[in-house]
Amino acid sequence: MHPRPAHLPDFENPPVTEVLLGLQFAPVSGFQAVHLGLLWDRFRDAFPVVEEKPPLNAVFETFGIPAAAPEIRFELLQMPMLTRLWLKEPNDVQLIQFQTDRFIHNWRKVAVGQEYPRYEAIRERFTSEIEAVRTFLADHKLGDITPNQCEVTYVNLIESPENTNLGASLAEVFQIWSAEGQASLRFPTEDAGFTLRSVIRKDEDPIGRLIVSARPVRQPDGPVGIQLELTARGRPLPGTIQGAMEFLDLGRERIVQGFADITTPRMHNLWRRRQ
Amino acid sequence: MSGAISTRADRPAFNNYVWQSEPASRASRWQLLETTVAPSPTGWPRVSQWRWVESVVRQARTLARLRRGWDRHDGEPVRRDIVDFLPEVLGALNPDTPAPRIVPMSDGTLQLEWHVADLDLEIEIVEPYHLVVAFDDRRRRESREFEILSGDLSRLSEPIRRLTEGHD
Repeated sequence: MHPRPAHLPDFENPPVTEVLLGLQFAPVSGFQAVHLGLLWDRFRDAFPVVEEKPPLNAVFETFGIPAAAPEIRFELLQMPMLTRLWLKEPNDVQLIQFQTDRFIHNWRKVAVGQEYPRYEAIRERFTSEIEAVRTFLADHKLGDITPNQCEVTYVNLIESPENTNLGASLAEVFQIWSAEGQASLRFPTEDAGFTLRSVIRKDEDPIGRLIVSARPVRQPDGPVGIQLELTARGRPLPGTIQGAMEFLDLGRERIVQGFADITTPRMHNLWRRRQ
Repeated sequence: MSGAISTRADRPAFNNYVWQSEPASRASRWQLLETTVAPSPTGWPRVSQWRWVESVVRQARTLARLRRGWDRHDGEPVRRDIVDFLPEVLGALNPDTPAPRIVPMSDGTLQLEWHVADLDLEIEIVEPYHLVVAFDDRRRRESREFEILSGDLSRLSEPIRRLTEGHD
Protein backbone atom coordinates (compact mmCIF):
# COMPACT_ATOMS: atom_id res chain seq x y z
CA MET A 1 0.00 0.00 0.00
CA HIS A 2 1.12 3.56 -0.69
CA PRO A 3 2.79 4.86 2.51
CA ARG A 4 1.22 7.66 4.50
CA PRO A 5 3.51 10.73 4.60
CA ALA A 6 4.94 10.91 8.12
CA HIS A 7 4.65 14.69 8.38
CA LEU A 8 0.90 14.84 7.84
CA PRO A 9 -1.44 15.81 10.68
CA ASP A 10 -3.31 12.75 11.87
CA PHE A 11 -6.61 12.37 13.71
CA GLU A 12 -7.83 9.23 15.43
CA ASN A 13 -11.47 10.16 15.00
CA PRO A 14 -11.77 12.60 12.08
CA PRO A 15 -15.23 13.92 11.16
CA VAL A 16 -14.88 12.72 7.57
CA THR A 17 -18.05 11.26 6.07
CA GLU A 18 -17.02 10.90 2.45
CA VAL A 19 -13.84 10.77 0.37
CA LEU A 20 -13.72 10.66 -3.38
CA LEU A 21 -10.93 10.24 -5.88
CA GLY A 22 -11.75 11.20 -9.44
CA LEU A 23 -10.15 11.21 -12.83
CA GLN A 24 -11.31 13.13 -15.90
CA PHE A 25 -9.92 12.16 -19.27
CA ALA A 26 -10.34 12.74 -22.98
CA PRO A 27 -13.56 10.99 -23.99
CA VAL A 28 -13.02 7.38 -24.98
CA SER A 29 -13.92 7.38 -28.63
CA GLY A 30 -15.85 4.39 -29.84
CA PHE A 31 -17.36 3.73 -26.42
CA GLN A 32 -21.00 2.76 -26.93
CA ALA A 33 -23.95 2.02 -24.69
CA VAL A 34 -23.35 -1.70 -25.01
CA HIS A 35 -19.92 -1.24 -23.44
CA LEU A 36 -21.46 0.09 -20.23
CA GLY A 37 -23.01 -3.28 -19.49
CA LEU A 38 -19.87 -5.11 -20.41
CA LEU A 39 -17.86 -2.83 -18.14
CA TRP A 40 -20.25 -3.47 -15.26
CA ASP A 41 -19.59 -7.18 -15.68
CA ARG A 42 -15.96 -6.54 -14.78
CA PHE A 43 -17.02 -4.95 -11.47
CA ARG A 44 -20.22 -6.85 -10.78
CA ASP A 45 -18.91 -9.06 -7.96
CA ALA A 46 -17.79 -6.11 -5.86
CA PHE A 47 -20.47 -3.66 -7.03
CA PRO A 48 -23.67 -5.56 -7.74
CA VAL A 49 -25.99 -2.56 -7.48
CA VAL A 50 -26.24 -0.34 -10.54
CA GLU A 51 -27.91 3.02 -11.13
CA GLU A 52 -27.86 5.37 -14.08
CA LYS A 53 -27.21 9.09 -13.61
CA PRO A 54 -26.93 12.06 -15.95
CA PRO A 55 -23.36 12.62 -17.13
CA LEU A 56 -21.22 15.22 -15.41
CA ASN A 57 -19.89 18.21 -17.28
CA ALA A 58 -16.15 18.45 -17.77
CA VAL A 59 -14.27 20.70 -15.35
CA PHE A 60 -10.92 22.42 -15.80
CA GLU A 61 -8.97 24.62 -13.44
CA THR A 62 -7.44 27.58 -15.26
CA PHE A 63 -5.63 30.67 -14.06
CA GLY A 64 -4.73 34.21 -14.96
CA ILE A 65 -8.19 35.28 -15.99
CA PRO A 66 -10.55 37.47 -13.97
CA ALA A 67 -12.31 35.71 -11.14
CA ALA A 68 -15.56 37.17 -12.41
CA ALA A 69 -15.10 35.93 -15.96
CA PRO A 70 -18.41 35.06 -17.54
CA GLU A 71 -19.67 31.75 -16.35
CA ILE A 72 -20.35 29.56 -19.31
CA ARG A 73 -20.34 26.03 -18.04
CA PHE A 74 -24.05 25.72 -17.65
CA GLU A 75 -26.14 22.87 -18.89
CA LEU A 76 -25.91 24.23 -22.39
CA LEU A 77 -22.49 22.75 -22.73
CA GLN A 78 -23.66 19.27 -22.04
CA MET A 79 -23.00 17.21 -25.12
CA PRO A 80 -25.13 14.28 -26.08
CA MET A 81 -23.30 11.48 -24.35
CA LEU A 82 -23.85 8.19 -22.65
CA THR A 83 -25.21 7.95 -19.17
CA ARG A 84 -23.04 7.88 -16.04
CA LEU A 85 -22.99 4.55 -14.26
CA TRP A 86 -23.15 4.28 -10.50
CA LEU A 87 -21.91 0.90 -9.35
CA LYS A 88 -22.43 0.35 -5.64
CA GLU A 89 -21.80 -2.13 -2.91
CA PRO A 90 -25.02 -3.40 -1.37
CA ASN A 91 -24.21 -1.52 1.86
CA ASP A 92 -23.68 1.78 -0.03
CA VAL A 93 -20.21 2.30 1.43
CA GLN A 94 -18.13 2.08 -1.72
CA LEU A 95 -19.32 3.50 -5.01
CA ILE A 96 -17.66 3.81 -8.40
CA GLN A 97 -18.88 6.09 -11.14
CA PHE A 98 -18.04 5.82 -14.81
CA GLN A 99 -18.87 7.86 -17.89
CA THR A 100 -16.94 8.12 -21.13
CA ASP A 101 -14.66 10.84 -19.77
CA ARG A 102 -14.72 10.26 -16.01
CA PHE A 103 -13.96 7.67 -13.36
CA ILE A 104 -14.69 8.31 -9.69
CA HIS A 105 -14.43 6.23 -6.54
CA ASN A 106 -16.38 7.31 -3.46
CA TRP A 107 -16.08 5.99 0.06
CA ARG A 108 -19.02 6.98 2.24
CA LYS A 109 -19.77 6.76 5.92
CA VAL A 110 -23.26 5.33 6.21
CA ALA A 111 -23.43 4.30 9.88
CA VAL A 112 -22.40 5.66 13.24
CA GLY A 113 -19.18 4.04 14.36
CA GLN A 114 -18.15 3.01 10.86
CA GLU A 115 -14.41 3.27 10.62
CA TYR A 116 -12.76 5.53 8.07
CA PRO A 117 -10.48 3.24 6.05
CA ARG A 118 -7.96 6.08 5.36
CA TYR A 119 -6.82 7.58 2.08
CA GLU A 120 -4.19 4.95 1.38
CA ALA A 121 -6.75 2.13 1.31
CA ILE A 122 -9.14 4.11 -0.90
CA ARG A 123 -6.26 5.03 -3.18
CA GLU A 124 -5.32 1.38 -3.54
CA ARG A 125 -8.83 0.45 -4.60
CA PHE A 126 -9.01 3.41 -6.96
CA THR A 127 -5.72 2.45 -8.61
CA SER A 128 -6.74 -1.14 -9.18
CA GLU A 129 -10.14 -0.09 -10.51
CA ILE A 130 -8.54 2.31 -12.96
CA GLU A 131 -6.32 -0.52 -14.14
CA ALA A 132 -9.40 -2.70 -14.58
CA VAL A 133 -11.01 0.02 -16.71
CA ARG A 134 -7.86 0.33 -18.79
CA THR A 135 -7.74 -3.42 -19.30
CA PHE A 136 -11.39 -3.37 -20.36
CA LEU A 137 -10.72 -0.59 -22.87
CA ALA A 138 -7.70 -2.42 -24.25
CA ASP A 139 -9.65 -5.69 -24.53
CA HIS A 140 -12.28 -3.92 -26.60
CA LYS A 141 -9.77 -1.93 -28.66
CA LEU A 142 -11.07 1.36 -27.30
CA GLY A 143 -7.69 2.91 -26.62
CA ASP A 144 -6.42 4.16 -23.30
CA ILE A 145 -7.20 6.80 -20.72
CA THR A 146 -5.48 10.16 -21.11
CA PRO A 147 -6.14 12.12 -17.91
CA ASN A 148 -6.65 15.87 -18.22
CA GLN A 149 -7.92 16.66 -14.72
CA CYS A 150 -8.15 14.90 -11.40
CA GLU A 151 -9.51 15.62 -7.97
CA VAL A 152 -9.67 14.45 -4.41
CA THR A 153 -12.45 15.57 -2.09
CA TYR A 154 -13.05 15.12 1.62
CA VAL A 155 -16.48 15.85 3.06
CA ASN A 156 -16.64 16.33 6.82
CA LEU A 157 -19.69 16.62 9.02
CA ILE A 158 -18.92 18.59 12.16
CA GLU A 159 -21.78 18.02 14.54
CA SER A 160 -22.68 20.55 17.19
CA PRO A 161 -22.23 19.45 20.78
CA GLU A 162 -25.46 19.43 22.75
CA ASN A 163 -27.02 22.85 23.35
CA THR A 164 -24.71 24.62 20.96
CA ASN A 165 -25.12 25.93 17.47
CA LEU A 166 -21.85 25.68 15.60
CA GLY A 167 -23.50 27.13 12.53
CA ALA A 168 -23.76 30.46 14.33
CA SER A 169 -20.33 30.36 15.96
CA LEU A 170 -17.86 29.28 13.34
CA ALA A 171 -14.98 30.58 15.47
CA GLU A 172 -15.46 27.52 17.67
CA VAL A 173 -14.42 25.39 14.73
CA PHE A 174 -12.35 27.59 12.46
CA GLN A 175 -9.21 29.49 13.40
CA ILE A 176 -9.67 31.73 10.38
CA TRP A 177 -13.03 33.00 11.69
CA SER A 178 -12.89 35.78 14.26
CA ALA A 179 -15.22 35.51 17.25
CA GLU A 180 -14.59 39.18 18.01
CA GLY A 181 -15.47 40.22 14.50
CA GLN A 182 -18.64 38.22 14.60
CA ALA A 183 -19.54 39.58 18.05
CA SER A 184 -19.23 43.12 16.75
CA LEU A 185 -22.05 42.58 14.29
CA ARG A 186 -25.11 44.71 15.03
CA PHE A 187 -27.37 41.68 14.61
CA PRO A 188 -26.81 38.18 15.96
CA THR A 189 -25.72 35.57 13.46
CA GLU A 190 -28.24 32.88 12.72
CA ASP A 191 -25.79 30.77 10.77
CA ALA A 192 -22.80 31.29 8.47
CA GLY A 193 -20.52 29.66 5.95
CA PHE A 194 -17.57 30.47 3.73
CA THR A 195 -15.54 29.36 0.73
CA LEU A 196 -11.88 29.92 0.08
CA ARG A 197 -9.68 28.96 -2.81
CA SER A 198 -5.95 28.54 -2.99
CA VAL A 199 -3.76 27.85 -6.02
CA ILE A 200 -1.69 24.65 -6.01
CA ARG A 201 1.65 25.07 -7.76
CA LYS A 202 4.31 22.76 -9.14
CA ASP A 203 7.68 24.36 -9.79
CA GLU A 204 5.98 27.78 -9.42
CA ASP A 205 3.45 26.98 -12.15
CA PRO A 206 -0.21 26.85 -11.19
CA ILE A 207 -1.59 23.35 -11.73
CA GLY A 208 -4.67 23.21 -9.56
CA ARG A 209 -6.69 24.59 -6.69
CA LEU A 210 -7.60 23.73 -3.15
CA ILE A 211 -11.21 24.73 -2.57
CA VAL A 212 -12.57 24.78 0.97
CA SER A 213 -16.22 25.32 1.68
CA ALA A 214 -18.13 25.37 4.97
CA ARG A 215 -21.87 25.57 5.20
CA PRO A 216 -24.42 24.98 7.93
CA VAL A 217 -26.52 21.84 7.94
CA ARG A 218 -29.43 21.28 10.26
CA GLN A 219 -30.87 18.26 11.99
CA PRO A 220 -34.65 18.01 12.09
CA ASP A 221 -34.65 18.32 15.87
CA GLY A 222 -32.64 21.50 15.96
CA PRO A 223 -28.87 21.29 16.30
CA VAL A 224 -26.95 22.93 13.50
CA GLY A 225 -23.74 21.34 12.32
CA ILE A 226 -21.27 22.31 9.64
CA GLN A 227 -20.45 20.51 6.45
CA LEU A 228 -16.84 21.16 5.58
CA GLU A 229 -15.80 20.14 2.12
CA LEU A 230 -12.21 20.27 0.87
CA THR A 231 -11.39 19.61 -2.78
CA ALA A 232 -8.05 19.60 -4.54
CA ARG A 233 -8.50 19.60 -8.29
CA GLY A 234 -6.07 20.16 -11.12
CA ARG A 235 -4.13 19.02 -14.09
CA PRO A 236 -2.00 15.90 -13.83
CA LEU A 237 1.57 16.49 -14.94
CA PRO A 238 2.40 14.51 -16.95
CA GLY A 239 -1.02 13.58 -18.32
CA THR A 240 -0.72 9.95 -17.35
CA ILE A 241 -2.20 7.74 -14.65
CA GLN A 242 1.08 8.10 -12.77
CA GLY A 243 0.85 11.90 -13.08
CA ALA A 244 -2.74 11.78 -11.87
CA MET A 245 -1.83 9.73 -8.81
CA GLU A 246 0.94 12.18 -7.99
CA PHE A 247 -1.52 15.05 -8.17
CA LEU A 248 -4.02 13.18 -6.01
CA ASP A 249 -1.35 12.50 -3.40
CA LEU A 250 -0.33 16.16 -3.44
CA GLY A 251 -3.96 17.24 -3.27
CA ARG A 252 -4.63 14.94 -0.34
CA GLU A 253 -1.67 16.45 1.51
CA ARG A 254 -3.01 19.96 0.90
CA ILE A 255 -6.43 18.91 2.12
CA VAL A 256 -5.19 17.33 5.33
CA GLN A 257 -2.83 20.21 6.04
CA GLY A 258 -5.53 22.71 5.17
CA PHE A 259 -8.02 20.97 7.39
CA ALA A 260 -5.60 21.06 10.34
CA ASP A 261 -4.65 24.67 9.63
CA ILE A 262 -8.13 26.12 9.51
CA THR A 263 -9.67 24.21 12.40
CA THR A 264 -9.16 25.02 16.09
CA PRO A 265 -7.09 23.07 18.66
CA ARG A 266 -10.31 22.59 20.62
CA MET A 267 -11.79 20.66 17.73
CA HIS A 268 -8.51 18.80 17.23
CA ASN A 269 -8.86 17.50 20.79
CA LEU A 270 -12.37 16.39 20.03
CA TRP A 271 -11.16 14.52 16.96
CA ARG A 272 -8.19 13.17 18.94
CA ARG A 273 -5.31 14.60 17.00
CA ARG A 274 -2.27 12.32 17.19
CA GLN A 275 0.26 14.56 15.51
CA MET B 1 -28.39 19.12 -9.13
CA SER B 2 -29.02 15.56 -8.29
CA GLY B 3 -27.15 13.52 -5.80
CA ALA B 4 -29.36 13.87 -2.77
CA ILE B 5 -29.57 10.49 -1.19
CA SER B 6 -31.49 10.22 2.02
CA THR B 7 -29.44 9.75 5.13
CA ARG B 8 -29.48 6.54 7.10
CA ALA B 9 -31.93 5.30 9.68
CA ASP B 10 -29.24 4.68 12.24
CA ARG B 11 -28.08 8.24 12.19
CA PRO B 12 -30.00 11.45 12.77
CA ALA B 13 -30.90 12.89 9.42
CA PHE B 14 -29.58 16.27 8.40
CA ASN B 15 -32.03 18.22 6.32
CA ASN B 16 -29.48 19.91 4.18
CA TYR B 17 -27.00 17.14 4.22
CA VAL B 18 -26.71 15.53 0.86
CA TRP B 19 -24.51 12.63 0.10
CA GLN B 20 -21.69 14.09 -1.86
CA SER B 21 -21.54 11.31 -4.35
CA GLU B 22 -20.14 13.71 -6.86
CA PRO B 23 -19.40 16.79 -4.82
CA ALA B 24 -16.67 18.70 -6.52
CA SER B 25 -16.92 16.72 -9.68
CA ARG B 26 -20.20 18.46 -10.09
CA ALA B 27 -18.30 21.64 -10.50
CA SER B 28 -21.31 23.83 -11.02
CA ARG B 29 -21.34 24.65 -7.33
CA TRP B 30 -17.84 26.04 -7.48
CA GLN B 31 -18.44 27.71 -10.74
CA LEU B 32 -21.49 29.45 -9.42
CA LEU B 33 -19.32 30.65 -6.61
CA GLU B 34 -16.72 32.03 -8.98
CA THR B 35 -19.29 34.12 -10.76
CA THR B 36 -20.49 35.66 -7.55
CA VAL B 37 -17.13 36.62 -6.10
CA ALA B 38 -17.03 40.06 -7.63
CA PRO B 39 -18.15 41.90 -10.70
CA SER B 40 -15.63 42.22 -13.50
CA PRO B 41 -13.98 45.65 -13.88
CA THR B 42 -16.42 46.55 -16.58
CA GLY B 43 -19.43 45.24 -14.75
CA TRP B 44 -21.44 42.08 -15.09
CA PRO B 45 -21.57 40.47 -18.52
CA ARG B 46 -24.29 42.04 -20.58
CA VAL B 47 -27.17 40.13 -21.98
CA SER B 48 -25.88 40.57 -25.51
CA GLN B 49 -22.53 39.11 -24.54
CA TRP B 50 -24.16 36.11 -22.94
CA ARG B 51 -26.10 35.61 -26.10
CA TRP B 52 -23.04 35.29 -28.29
CA VAL B 53 -21.21 33.14 -25.78
CA GLU B 54 -24.14 30.79 -25.86
CA SER B 55 -24.15 30.85 -29.62
CA VAL B 56 -20.43 30.07 -29.82
CA VAL B 57 -20.77 27.12 -27.47
CA ARG B 58 -23.74 25.83 -29.42
CA GLN B 59 -21.79 26.06 -32.67
CA ALA B 60 -18.89 24.18 -31.13
CA ARG B 61 -21.24 21.45 -29.96
CA THR B 62 -22.57 21.14 -33.47
CA LEU B 63 -19.05 20.89 -34.86
CA ALA B 64 -18.36 18.00 -32.52
CA ARG B 65 -21.08 16.11 -34.35
CA LEU B 66 -19.61 16.54 -37.82
CA ARG B 67 -19.10 13.37 -39.77
CA ARG B 68 -15.59 12.23 -40.52
CA GLY B 69 -14.65 13.62 -43.93
CA TRP B 70 -16.82 16.71 -43.50
CA ASP B 71 -14.24 18.73 -45.44
CA ARG B 72 -14.33 16.27 -48.35
CA HIS B 73 -11.00 14.92 -47.21
CA ASP B 74 -10.33 13.13 -43.94
CA GLY B 75 -11.58 15.93 -41.71
CA GLU B 76 -12.28 14.86 -38.12
CA PRO B 77 -15.20 16.15 -36.05
CA VAL B 78 -14.11 18.61 -33.38
CA ARG B 79 -12.96 16.64 -30.34
CA ARG B 80 -15.25 16.76 -27.37
CA ASP B 81 -12.55 17.52 -24.83
CA ILE B 82 -11.72 20.59 -26.94
CA VAL B 83 -15.34 21.71 -26.86
CA ASP B 84 -15.28 21.09 -23.10
CA PHE B 85 -12.26 23.36 -22.75
CA LEU B 86 -13.72 26.13 -24.92
CA PRO B 87 -15.49 27.86 -22.00
CA GLU B 88 -12.14 28.29 -20.27
CA VAL B 89 -10.87 30.24 -23.26
CA LEU B 90 -14.07 32.23 -23.58
CA GLY B 91 -13.67 33.02 -19.89
CA ALA B 92 -10.58 35.05 -20.78
CA LEU B 93 -12.68 37.46 -22.83
CA ASN B 94 -14.40 40.45 -21.35
CA PRO B 95 -17.95 41.64 -21.79
CA ASP B 96 -17.10 44.00 -24.64
CA THR B 97 -15.05 41.59 -26.71
CA PRO B 98 -16.69 40.99 -30.07
CA ALA B 99 -17.88 37.50 -30.90
CA PRO B 100 -15.29 35.23 -32.50
CA ARG B 101 -15.78 33.20 -35.62
CA ILE B 102 -15.27 29.56 -34.80
CA VAL B 103 -13.56 27.37 -37.34
CA PRO B 104 -13.22 23.59 -37.17
CA MET B 105 -9.83 22.31 -38.23
CA SER B 106 -9.46 19.09 -40.16
CA ASP B 107 -7.51 17.42 -37.36
CA GLY B 108 -10.37 17.83 -34.87
CA THR B 109 -9.11 20.99 -33.21
CA LEU B 110 -10.98 24.28 -33.03
CA GLN B 111 -9.91 27.81 -33.89
CA LEU B 112 -11.40 31.07 -32.64
CA GLU B 113 -10.83 33.97 -35.04
CA TRP B 114 -11.31 37.71 -34.81
CA HIS B 115 -10.62 39.99 -37.75
CA VAL B 116 -11.47 43.48 -36.54
CA ALA B 117 -10.28 46.73 -38.14
CA ASP B 118 -6.48 46.45 -38.09
CA LEU B 119 -6.35 43.54 -35.70
CA ASP B 120 -6.36 39.80 -36.25
CA LEU B 121 -6.40 37.30 -33.45
CA GLU B 122 -6.53 33.54 -33.85
CA ILE B 123 -6.58 31.09 -30.97
CA GLU B 124 -6.39 27.42 -31.83
CA ILE B 125 -7.40 25.02 -29.08
CA VAL B 126 -5.16 22.04 -29.82
CA GLU B 127 -6.25 20.20 -26.69
CA PRO B 128 -7.09 21.16 -23.11
CA TYR B 129 -4.21 23.27 -21.79
CA HIS B 130 -2.63 23.64 -25.25
CA LEU B 131 -3.39 26.80 -27.23
CA VAL B 132 -1.65 28.25 -30.26
CA VAL B 133 -2.13 32.01 -30.52
CA ALA B 134 -1.45 34.29 -33.49
CA PHE B 135 -1.91 38.04 -33.06
CA ASP B 136 -1.42 40.70 -35.71
CA ASP B 137 -1.84 44.38 -34.80
CA ARG B 138 -1.28 46.28 -38.02
CA ARG B 139 -1.69 49.70 -36.40
CA ARG B 140 1.32 49.02 -34.22
CA ARG B 141 3.02 46.83 -36.81
CA GLU B 142 3.25 44.05 -34.31
CA SER B 143 2.81 40.36 -34.98
CA ARG B 144 3.13 37.63 -32.39
CA GLU B 145 2.71 33.90 -32.31
CA PHE B 146 2.99 31.90 -29.14
CA GLU B 147 1.85 28.71 -27.48
CA ILE B 148 0.21 28.27 -24.12
CA LEU B 149 0.92 24.86 -22.64
CA SER B 150 -0.57 25.28 -19.19
CA GLY B 151 -3.69 26.43 -17.40
CA ASP B 152 -2.30 29.95 -17.06
CA LEU B 153 -4.23 31.93 -19.66
CA SER B 154 -2.94 35.35 -18.61
CA ARG B 155 -1.03 35.79 -21.88
CA LEU B 156 -4.34 36.07 -23.65
CA SER B 157 -5.19 39.23 -21.72
CA GLU B 158 -3.19 41.74 -23.76
CA PRO B 159 -4.29 40.60 -27.25
CA ILE B 160 -7.87 40.45 -26.04
CA ARG B 161 -7.65 43.89 -24.45
CA ARG B 162 -6.38 45.38 -27.70
CA LEU B 163 -8.94 43.50 -29.71
CA THR B 164 -11.70 44.79 -27.48
CA GLU B 165 -10.42 48.38 -27.56
CA GLY B 166 -9.92 48.21 -31.31
CA HIS B 167 -13.46 47.04 -31.65
CA ASP B 168 -14.76 49.99 -29.60
